[in-house]
Amino acid sequence: MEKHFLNEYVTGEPEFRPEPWYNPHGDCIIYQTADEAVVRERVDEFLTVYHSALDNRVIGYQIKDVTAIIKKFGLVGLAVQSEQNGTRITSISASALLLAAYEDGLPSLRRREAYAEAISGPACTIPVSQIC
Amino acid sequence: MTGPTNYKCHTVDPDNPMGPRITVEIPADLYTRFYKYNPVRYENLRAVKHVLDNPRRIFWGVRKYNQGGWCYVGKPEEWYIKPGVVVPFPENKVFTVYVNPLRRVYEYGAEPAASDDPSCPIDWKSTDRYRGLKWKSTS
Repeated sequence: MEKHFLNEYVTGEPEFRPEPWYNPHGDCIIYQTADEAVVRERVDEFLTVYHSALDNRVIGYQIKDVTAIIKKFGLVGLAVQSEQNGTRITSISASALLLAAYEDGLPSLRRREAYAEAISGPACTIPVSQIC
Repeated sequence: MTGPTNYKCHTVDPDNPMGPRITVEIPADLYTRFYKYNPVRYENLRAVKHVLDNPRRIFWGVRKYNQGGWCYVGKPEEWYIKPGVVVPFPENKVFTVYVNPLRRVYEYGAEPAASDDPSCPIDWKSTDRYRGLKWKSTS
């Protein structure tokens, strides 16, 4: 494989981090639990599930239109409070966001299975300051 | 001192496919993040560049609440499936690259190909998925 076209712009030692993060370019939360190629399965307008290209197991998800979900449902019920080094931090719960997104669509077995699969992962939060 | 800059790719203009190519950017914060924390995704930015250079289909209207945006679809020859492992890109998949209204890449990956058009992702005709097919390659 030839040299990566972006290698001259990056430095440091890569280290995979399985943590959710807010992508402002797509107004979405991306959560990937394994450093493997992703096969995307679009579930609905809010949720895309990531499957491993190696063995098809679920390795994460993308929650789309995050600010629209927050606007519609409000921070109450989506936010959790914590304290770090004496500073109070408000974060969004990814599970609460997924529940809100699920409520917004028509019920179907596939949706229910996919949302349940996404919610069953480790509890994740993202600081509100990263989103709003 | 300046930080890394957005990488500029040149691709088909969905609104004027026969005209000059437009610039679509890969944001510096996106590729830096993938380089640091998601190395396989970083490697597969090669596939993103390939698809933008050689799109087969372009769809418009990819979000319900964020208006605009495009999905460029293509088939790279190969891709990384885990660190250090490159394999041919599967025949039954397409590689999709999502571009926001500011013409910046924000998401990408493989998706199952449609049975009625193997250059499109599955469910491409569903109106709640895309607003429509904007352009298709004739080659």
